[in-house]
Amino acid sequence: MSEPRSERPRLDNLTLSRKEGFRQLAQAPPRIQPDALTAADLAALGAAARAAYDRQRRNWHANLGPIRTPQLAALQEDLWDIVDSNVQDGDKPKGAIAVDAFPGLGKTTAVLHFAQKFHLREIGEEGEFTEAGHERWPVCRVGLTSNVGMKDFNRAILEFFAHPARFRGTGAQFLQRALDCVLDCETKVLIIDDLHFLRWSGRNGREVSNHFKYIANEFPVTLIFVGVELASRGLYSEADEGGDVTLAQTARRTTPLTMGPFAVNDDKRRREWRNLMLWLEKRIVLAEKFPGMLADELSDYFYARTTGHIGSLMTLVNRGCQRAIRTGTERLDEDLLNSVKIDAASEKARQQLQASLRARRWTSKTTAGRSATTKVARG
Amino acid sequence: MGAVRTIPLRTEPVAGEALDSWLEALASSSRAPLTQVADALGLGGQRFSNPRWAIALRPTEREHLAVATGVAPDVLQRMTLERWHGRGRVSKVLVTATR
Repeated sequence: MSEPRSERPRLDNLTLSRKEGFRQLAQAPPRIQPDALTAADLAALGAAARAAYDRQRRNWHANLGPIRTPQLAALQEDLWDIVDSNVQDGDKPKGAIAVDAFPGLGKTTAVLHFAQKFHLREIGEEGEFTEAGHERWPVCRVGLTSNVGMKDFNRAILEFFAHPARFRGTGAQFLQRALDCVLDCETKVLIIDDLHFLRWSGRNGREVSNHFKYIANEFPVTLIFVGVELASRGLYSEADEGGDVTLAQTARRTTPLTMGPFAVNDDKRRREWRNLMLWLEKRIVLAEKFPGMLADELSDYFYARTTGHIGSLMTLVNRGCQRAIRTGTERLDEDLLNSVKIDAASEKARQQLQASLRARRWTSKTTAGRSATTKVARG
Repeated sequence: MGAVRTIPLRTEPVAGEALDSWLEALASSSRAPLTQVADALGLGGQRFSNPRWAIALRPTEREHLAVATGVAPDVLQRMTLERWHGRGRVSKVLVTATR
């Protein structure tokens, strides 16, 4: 077997803090699932062909998704509603959005996936260049780091756009240049990721949070904040600890959106979990895979290990598949997955969930699924 | 050549415009000092009175500039004194500049 042709440019060295990385991710064609080979097919491969096939599977499993889960679909519908309704004239500030959820629920994945679709739609409708001849960048994304100040924030915007004067200048100059980029490149969405890194109580935090209000007023963009526990950190506070009420306008103009974990407390939700298991099962490329490997055999196990957090689940499936390929097991089962480590929060919650699973206090399987499994077992 | 980043705010050169004039226009529309724009376009590290690139662009400079600004390499070449190559005294200056 010859090495499969690479159908997609390498994306692993991209940074989303630059326009080129964002565009390349948005325009990348979907990955092509490697052929499913049987154990006999695998054994018949020569060393070089086997190495190539395994490399292809490693990349595939490491890049499963994003999955159109009910949570992702609902969040994206809200994002489309708000962003598309923000077409007021320049004198009216746009409503902002805060996507506020715990880690591992896929909020950044969902927002970036939305942003890529928005980018493609706008470029498709309006072209890569504006009427004035400037580059068109419908989306700008800035990731925050700790203790970022206003000048750093504006500089990050300039870095995204590759403005030639992003290395030197005063705070006021950086701000003006950032505004020029947003206006001239006709940017409509500004994503501020990892907002929880901002220290709201510090001088820089106050400065930047006030700056968001300025951006909402002066920049014709929809701000999308993404972060963890934004409410308790003060994003929607009407005033800060010192009584400064400048935050109040940000609070009034920001629509909070969230994403929850999968639940299994009724049949409708268990069906959603099962659909997720089926989606993954279809995409796993292991020689000893069998129908029901995830949806029937491992459904409860995966739920107990990940407490329904999509991020933890994708990590566990990815690492499990890598191990199954490396060790030659070529299937996922509890023994193999028990040896795979994932995040500490999931491991902590797992102990309690597994105890209650053993006591049969819950299951992730639908009523119909349980009957089917029972019949198979009896047969 | 490392990865060249394109500049977001564009200004097309007008017919017959010299390279240094156009760079000034680009700097103005970006609210940026000319030195920073020249750096971003791969023309940094040179004095600004009679810079060498106003006389002739090296192939790598021309390529960098074309990618970064979206202006065709042959158009850029015609914006330097090289268009007068072979016509009188300019030839001697050009030979020195492109080395």
